[in-house]
Amino acid sequence: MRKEAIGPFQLFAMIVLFELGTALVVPIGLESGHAVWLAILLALPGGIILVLIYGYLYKQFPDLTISGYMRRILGRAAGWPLALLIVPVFLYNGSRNLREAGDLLISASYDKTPVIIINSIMVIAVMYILYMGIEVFARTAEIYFIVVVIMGLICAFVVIAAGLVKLDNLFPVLPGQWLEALQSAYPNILIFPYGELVCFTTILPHFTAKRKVNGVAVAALVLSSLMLGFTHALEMSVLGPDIYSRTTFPMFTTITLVNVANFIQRLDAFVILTLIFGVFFKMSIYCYAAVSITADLFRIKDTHRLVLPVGVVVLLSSFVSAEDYPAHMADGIVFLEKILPIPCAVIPILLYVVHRLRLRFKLYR
Amino acid sequence: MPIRKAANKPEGNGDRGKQSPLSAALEDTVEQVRSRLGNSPDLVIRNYKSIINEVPIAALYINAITDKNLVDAFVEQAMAFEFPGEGVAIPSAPEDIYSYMKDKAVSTGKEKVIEDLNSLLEALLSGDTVLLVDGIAEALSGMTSGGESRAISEAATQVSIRGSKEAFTEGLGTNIALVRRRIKSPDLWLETMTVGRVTRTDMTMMYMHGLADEGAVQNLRDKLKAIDADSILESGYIEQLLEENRFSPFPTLYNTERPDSVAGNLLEGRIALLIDGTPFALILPATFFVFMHTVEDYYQRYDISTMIRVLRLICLVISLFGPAIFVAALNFHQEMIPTPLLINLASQREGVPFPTFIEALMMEFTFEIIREAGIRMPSPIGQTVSIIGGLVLGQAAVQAGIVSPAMVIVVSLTGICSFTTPAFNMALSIRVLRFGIMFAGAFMGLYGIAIVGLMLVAHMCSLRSLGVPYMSPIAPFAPGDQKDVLVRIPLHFMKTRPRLTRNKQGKRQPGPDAS
Amino acid sequence: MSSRWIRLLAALLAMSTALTGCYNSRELNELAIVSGIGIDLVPGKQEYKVSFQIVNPNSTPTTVSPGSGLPAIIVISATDDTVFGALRKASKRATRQLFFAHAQMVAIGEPLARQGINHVFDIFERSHELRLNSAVLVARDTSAEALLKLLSPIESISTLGIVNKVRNTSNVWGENRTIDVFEIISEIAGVGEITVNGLRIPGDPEEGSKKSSLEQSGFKGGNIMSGLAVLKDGKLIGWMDGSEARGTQWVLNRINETSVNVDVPGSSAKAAVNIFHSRTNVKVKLIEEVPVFHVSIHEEGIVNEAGGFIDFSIKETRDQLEEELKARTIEEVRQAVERAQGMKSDIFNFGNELKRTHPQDWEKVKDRWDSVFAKGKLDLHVESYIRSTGMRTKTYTNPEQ
Repeated sequence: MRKEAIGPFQLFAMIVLFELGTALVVPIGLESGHAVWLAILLALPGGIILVLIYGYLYKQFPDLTISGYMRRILGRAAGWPLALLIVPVFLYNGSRNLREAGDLLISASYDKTPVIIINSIMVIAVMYILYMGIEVFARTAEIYFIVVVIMGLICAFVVIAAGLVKLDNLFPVLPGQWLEALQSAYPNILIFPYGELVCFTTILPHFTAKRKVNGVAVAALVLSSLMLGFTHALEMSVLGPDIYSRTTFPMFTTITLVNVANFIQRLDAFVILTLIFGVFFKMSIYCYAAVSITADLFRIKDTHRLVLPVGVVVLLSSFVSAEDYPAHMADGIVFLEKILPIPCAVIPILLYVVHRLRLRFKLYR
Repeated sequence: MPIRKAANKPEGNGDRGKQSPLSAALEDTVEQVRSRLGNSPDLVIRNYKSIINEVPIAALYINAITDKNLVDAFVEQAMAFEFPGEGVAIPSAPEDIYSYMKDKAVSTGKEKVIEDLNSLLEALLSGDTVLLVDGIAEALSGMTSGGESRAISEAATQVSIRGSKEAFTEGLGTNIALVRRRIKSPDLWLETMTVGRVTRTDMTMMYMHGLADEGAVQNLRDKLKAIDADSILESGYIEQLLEENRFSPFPTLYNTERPDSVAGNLLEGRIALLIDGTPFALILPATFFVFMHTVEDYYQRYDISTMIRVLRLICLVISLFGPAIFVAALNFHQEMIPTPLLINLASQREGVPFPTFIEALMMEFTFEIIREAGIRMPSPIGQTVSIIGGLVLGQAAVQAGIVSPAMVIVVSLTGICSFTTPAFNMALSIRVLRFGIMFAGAFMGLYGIAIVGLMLVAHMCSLRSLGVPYMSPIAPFAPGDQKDVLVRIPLHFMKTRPRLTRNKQGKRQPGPDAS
Repeated sequence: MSSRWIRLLAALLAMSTALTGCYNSRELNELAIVSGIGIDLVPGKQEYKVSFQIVNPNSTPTTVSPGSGLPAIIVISATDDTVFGALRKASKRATRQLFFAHAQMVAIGEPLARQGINHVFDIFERSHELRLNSAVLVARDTSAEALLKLLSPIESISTLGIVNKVRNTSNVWGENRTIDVFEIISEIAGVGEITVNGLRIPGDPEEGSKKSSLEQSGFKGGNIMSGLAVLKDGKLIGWMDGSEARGTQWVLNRINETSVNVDVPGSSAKAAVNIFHSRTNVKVKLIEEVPVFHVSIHEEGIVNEAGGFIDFSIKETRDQLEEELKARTIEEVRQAVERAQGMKSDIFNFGNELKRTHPQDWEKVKDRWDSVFAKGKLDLHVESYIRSTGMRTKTYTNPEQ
């Protein structure tokens, strides 16, 4: 079979969609108060460094996924089990995204629909696109990149046009708040959403323009960081820190306030759609990463066979993992602080250091 | 479908006597032809005898599909051996007569030597005249096909305000001429082949040598050769046999009856297939946006064309999602509708006995019936049908309180929007898909529509037409090709051909530096 | 290989769509669209009496039906310990499921407002159906239910009319502003106190809810905007009327357009100045535990009417008029601030401003902000400009007359 190929713009679109994913809709960096937008921007340099590390590793092993070069760098005995441990992390994170989408849908308008139905419909769509292969996925991402950007612009425009923005809620940023912002930027926002890009190490082997990888990734990261920062600043300026911190989905609350000319009102659907698209792409990438690492570890040729089990696992864990949404959020904080940094930052940095050392001391055969 | 794989055992008339050589005896051959054609009355056999030696000679043709003048000219020229001119011996032996005929009987330029009965029949049935000389186990055929055919008329399905009024007809030769007349270039290459075991339909593959991707041409050639169907009655047969994803609702071959459209596409590096017996030519590779464009986009000013293209795309979205979103909004997302409008809609729906979804389904269904009835009827009656159906039925349904007026508006808007899609087969696909999306909207509201829409887009992205991704140049995104997708930039700036047809000569016009 | 999967997927999809079976699907004619909600206190009990104004779609004229001639609104009510309980209990009276997403207005009865409204609005935040941008009003001297029952002659759905009225009068008169649930919640959660629009029924409420009241050109029913209710800790403690109300909006930078009558210099006549642009900047500083409120107002107006002879071609006249305008503005703002200080309630969000810009200072006084606020000093700067005098400069009367 022909090797599937992904072009620079496709990678760009995928990264942006992945970054926006759920981060656009759920509150991020909870502790940073009204300077959340600043925290998002402050975390950007760290995010860029992480991405450059992923890019470096990819350039060293352009044909291998992360599990492949983990075995090369750390040796088979250490690399294999470590790579295996990444799979459940990815699966769990995918299921968290699904849970968040399901919960917004239920609390926003499907309050009488069982969560299993809402989630399984989403999983079916994810499985469908994974069967189609990463190339089709990338093309779909390109189209939806345009769609999401247009929807985002419409949302931002109506929020501003409705006169809801109160800049008083954003400024001034006092010295103490800078520190707060910095604290929530590192490591929380660095890991979620920037560090999650580690998933792309499984997609990069299909990338055709090897040289452009750093440029594309950094550009996508900067764009998505600006969009995230802008959106959260907008939400904060409309809602104020108090409501922003109490609401489960600030973007949703923001948009419900819109009323332009008594006609354009309740654009909730746009937010729901943005979240559906974002979660769809983010989850698909997580599932793809899990599938391709598993396939690589167990030498499974036909990756299609893994899609169904992965989909089922994600679906089940999405409603088994936490009793209710507050518990889910509490789990999320623990997960974000304790577990997610390992595959996102610790392992790549470890790989980078070990690889450099082995190169330096000529320890590769 | 009377299509079978080549490996199967041959059957039917088409294959019998494949290896049977012609008999040397004229009588036998004529008798064989007669019996194979079932003593058909339109088979004409003219018998001659040479003056010297009285060698029997026969000319065979089928009456209705030949041009009398051509037959006469061909026979006359063949019989000219009786008068070879000064100082040349008149051939007398059958061999001499035959070889004289073979060498000299140049009338149509399309003579063929036939050695077996099957080829002879095939030649006869495609309108050739066959000459038989007694004692020779070969026959000579000349192209004399003609007979009645439709004159070139105005395009009926792809109407344009501005642009050529010529449309293809059913005759392959005429159609080739129509394209040739538009592209007077030696690089316009044609390849002819015959498809259909029974129908033996002529088909011409046309491409611009040096513009079309040779790999694609070879690929298509192989696919066409692999076609093994017993009948090809219309280009639709070829279209369906060539499609890569057989279960997709989307067409991946473009059909047109406009020679200017074919010419334009050839010049962008695409390949055209002209098939005898149909005015519809096939063009491939055809991506989604090819179906959304018309030739007129290039004849009108760029700004107007751009606006119309955007309008068409919006209409496509409305005709695909319109009723579904209406049903979803009314059943699931009432909060989205502005208050005065909601109160208005609610008062319209008072007394309507059906759920919104059933109401929508009913109206859409009625609309499809009216449309189908309108197409199948002769055009004056067809108009009556649409007027009665659309105006009277709709009005009466509203007044009877069975359907709310808003629903009639939505359904008719959807219907009108679906007429703006220039390619009829694409509009058909959208019509079918609309029902599926309506179901999704009625069951899960906007969420259902969004998910089905996502899967639909994913499906469209997975399609390919002759190796070219269906959604190109949007996905994969080709910045250089955006000049002619949604917007059409002024021709002056349209200097390159679309990249994704993989043509070799990129430039349409010399760039400012080159001139 | 993949076609088998596609078939499987198709089957799964078909099954799941069949399973969903429209859980959340609701037909429009199964819903009763609630256009307004009124919340009252049941006298003597700690219960809410919640009233709903429901749109009667049958009497909304469309081409299909000419309208049944019945009132376009119906009011039903239910009592319960919680608002949501009352919402659901109302199903005992309503023939259809109540649908709240289009509630334009929430009216609070004055007794309830006096008792405190802090906990009434939680349901608006929690529910996805109730909207946060419904307008909030206090029914002054009457019950919210009576307010909802009033018929109105032009707008067949009276709450839509009330919302329009609030918006309109805020734009051109400036004593009120649109205050929605969202603002109330952020104010309750924040530092300062709230002002809420008051709405009063001038005539007989019983009469106003009868259809016969509509059948006269000199319409006597209806309701009238009436001042601002000052809520402290969610409890109504007083009303601000007329110029006090407008002064409040001035400090809050909510004046879009208003009309100020100023004395014509050198005569007893008045001139009407239409303020078409006004901008207020507020800075709060704490100087030795005493807050100083720096309020600077920039206003621009047009003379729309002169009650006596004025010659605007003379610059001095215009300057004098500007001075008069300035004096009037200062007067109104002072009144408002003094009144608020008298009630010890910071309705101007000065506390928020202090907290935002000087968090350390705020920490020092936040526990006793009410009394600190009452002692605060107002440092008021007004710049008034008259930009135009309309189509004429001089009045048509002569100075001698």
